[in-house]
Amino acid sequence: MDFRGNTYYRKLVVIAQLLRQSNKTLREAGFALFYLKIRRRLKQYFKRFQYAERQPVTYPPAAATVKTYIRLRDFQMKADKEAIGKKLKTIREEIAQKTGV
Amino acid sequence: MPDKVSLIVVHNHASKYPTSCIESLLKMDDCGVALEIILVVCCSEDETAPSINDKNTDIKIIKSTGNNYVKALNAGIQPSGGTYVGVLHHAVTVEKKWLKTMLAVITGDGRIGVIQSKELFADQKTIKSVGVKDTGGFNFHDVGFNEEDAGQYSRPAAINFYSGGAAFFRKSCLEAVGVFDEDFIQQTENIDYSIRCRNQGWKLMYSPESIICHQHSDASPDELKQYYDARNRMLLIGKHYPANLPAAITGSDFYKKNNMVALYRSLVQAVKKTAEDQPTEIILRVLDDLIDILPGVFGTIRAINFFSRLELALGLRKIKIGIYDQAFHFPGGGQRYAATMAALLQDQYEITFIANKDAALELYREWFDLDLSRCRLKIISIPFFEKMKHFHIDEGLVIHEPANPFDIISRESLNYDIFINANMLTKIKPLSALSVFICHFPDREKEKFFSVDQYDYVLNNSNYGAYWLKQKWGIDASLRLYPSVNMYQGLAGADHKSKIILSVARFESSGSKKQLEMMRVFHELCRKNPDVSKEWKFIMAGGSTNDNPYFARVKNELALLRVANIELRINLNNADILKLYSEASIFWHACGLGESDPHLVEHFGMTTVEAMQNYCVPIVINGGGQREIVDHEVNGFLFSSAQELISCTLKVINDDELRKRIAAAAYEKSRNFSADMFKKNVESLFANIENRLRGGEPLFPLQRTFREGQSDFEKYKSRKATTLL
Repeated sequence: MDFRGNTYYRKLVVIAQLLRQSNKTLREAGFALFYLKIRRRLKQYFKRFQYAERQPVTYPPAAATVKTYIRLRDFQMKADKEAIGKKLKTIREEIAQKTGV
Repeated sequence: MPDKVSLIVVHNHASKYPTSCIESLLKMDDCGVALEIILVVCCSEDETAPSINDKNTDIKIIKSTGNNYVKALNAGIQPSGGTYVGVLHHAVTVEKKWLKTMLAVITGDGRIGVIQSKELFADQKTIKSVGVKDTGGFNFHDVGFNEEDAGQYSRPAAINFYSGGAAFFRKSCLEAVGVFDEDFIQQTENIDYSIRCRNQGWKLMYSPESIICHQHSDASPDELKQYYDARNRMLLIGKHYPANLPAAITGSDFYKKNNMVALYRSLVQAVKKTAEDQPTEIILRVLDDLIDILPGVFGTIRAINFFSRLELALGLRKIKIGIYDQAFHFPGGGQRYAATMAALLQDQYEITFIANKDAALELYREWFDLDLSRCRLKIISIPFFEKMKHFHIDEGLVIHEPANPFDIISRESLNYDIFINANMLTKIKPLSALSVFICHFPDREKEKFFSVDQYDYVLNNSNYGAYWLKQKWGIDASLRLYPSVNMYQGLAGADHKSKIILSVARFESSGSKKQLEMMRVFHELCRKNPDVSKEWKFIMAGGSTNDNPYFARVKNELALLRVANIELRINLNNADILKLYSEASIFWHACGLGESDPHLVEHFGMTTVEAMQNYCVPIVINGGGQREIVDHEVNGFLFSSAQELISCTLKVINDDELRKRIAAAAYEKSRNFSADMFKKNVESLFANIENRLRGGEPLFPLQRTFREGQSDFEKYKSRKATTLL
């Protein structure tokens, strides 16, 4: 008899995959990590079935359009571009150095 | 007396004709002078200017787009031909002798450049303005505002600043001083122009006999007016009084109201104004003063961003983009999405890919036929994962660490103007001036160090993903950007197709693409319909590794079925896939069949679009992103169960005309997801981001985005170096 289409069978397969992954984590990273990881995975796994009830029939477009920014008028600088550029670079480095960023 | 006077009415509602204003101009005493009336209408590209009811009236109408009052003003003045030019707001009416008295004053003294009217409210007893004065700290207010008109301002007088309700200009003054400064957008342009006129030796006068009435009686300023008052005050100080700019920051209305986003933006614009009008020494002095103030106001990171942004606003260098992808070395749909974007932008911007494992940009040509030769690659190892020797960076392993292992990437993000988090790593806090998070699907829970809400833009590749982004993380997507799909082969139509049903999907080890289920459905279809069994073939193409247990299951079950009309084609190259698309009549996609977990339903489904681009009829799962691609019975079919898949397929098999019609409609719909469409959307998005980075102004400044809606101070404080590191 083929159980593969059966819902309970599929759930068991997912749990078995989880256990296999857990075993791998346990070997690689120790018990503390294993405990936290398996707890979260199980939580996520059980949440799947809550989603089933909440899942709506249609998905309305949730994406808004990007807020539009308009360019100000064409810019022309009378001052010495090189001097200003150098200054701005120095300022950034200075602040970063002062604050240790 | 002059030959001609031009009267310009600037109107900001395309829907309504300013009847009362125009009528009052037509009724006033014209002193025998020829009048040229120009109506400038501020409207959007798709709006039409109002029509004029009276056909006998010679009024010129000019349309001005861009939601910019000052631009409209210039648009009206530029073609005007009068010796004198009156500029009026659309909501005013002039008294009968307005023009006569204006002409009497202006012709009396050749040095007068501008005249201000006496502006009353609608009750005609309360004064709105008889000039403008600085009440201290560069706060400008109308003289006489809300006072009863008891004759206290009945004498002509020289004034420092005029009010913009209805001013009268000498054309030679306008020509000498130049156009109005459109950067002010609305309000304060009159103060700027007053200063510029006086700097050139022109006199500004108040004429008490020239009376106008404002049609509204509302003396309280609205929110938008308050916004532009605060913004333009900064710009004005930056332009004319730069030494006062640093001190003006904490005196700003934005600062007092904790609107730090607007303060930050207006300060960039103000320094830009300083740089435009002032000599090098002054600019350097202003920058020196700002060093001490900005870290305290915005936090260290934002202060660094500020000076970095100034470099861009002043046009001193190219924009730098950093694209981080922790799976850069492993080809997939996510990598193709970000790399296609980079390929489109690499000539315009300086793009650096940030990866954790050694890889080469040349690989992308091999994998996706993408040329990234003008991009750079920077490898940054994350010590936490290096110790574990994992091939993949799995943020799920970061659980109880006191410090975020991804801080090393956060620090790197500070070196770019735009940081793009390309592969949904939720624990990277962006420190760049602007940041983009590409989210294909929010499959993780919100965990420690979750930082997606700190990004300026969150992109989604489908509405389905955007919906779950809101559900799971409470974040609104900024933009839905469908991926670029380009598998067109220039087929002429669906006429020369073979009797093939095709599925193209990776053989995932979890079986999420449902190849087994599709195979069973086709077998069932053949069992019940011997004709189909004789004539039709089902081909399942897709990638798989040698040790894939799911692929082994599919292969075994196929062997048990003992049928000749189901074929498996593994790891085909692009040319072979294209050949299959050109031959197949029907395309099946079942990822999500029988699933209730949203993560397991197809998020978008690029192969469906590829099939549609080659005149295949898509019969796909009624769920996830597939619903956005296929419209049921219009350009394909949607099914929810194996039975529905069979019945839809039979419908197409038994009706060749229907197949051709749906295939043609599918081809048309596929254009929505084409490379051209992707290019257009990416260019538009980045043009917008560039405008923002280079000191641009929002079209609708009061409209707040999700992230701007958060407490600004909290947001900025959280970006301070002390809390980050």
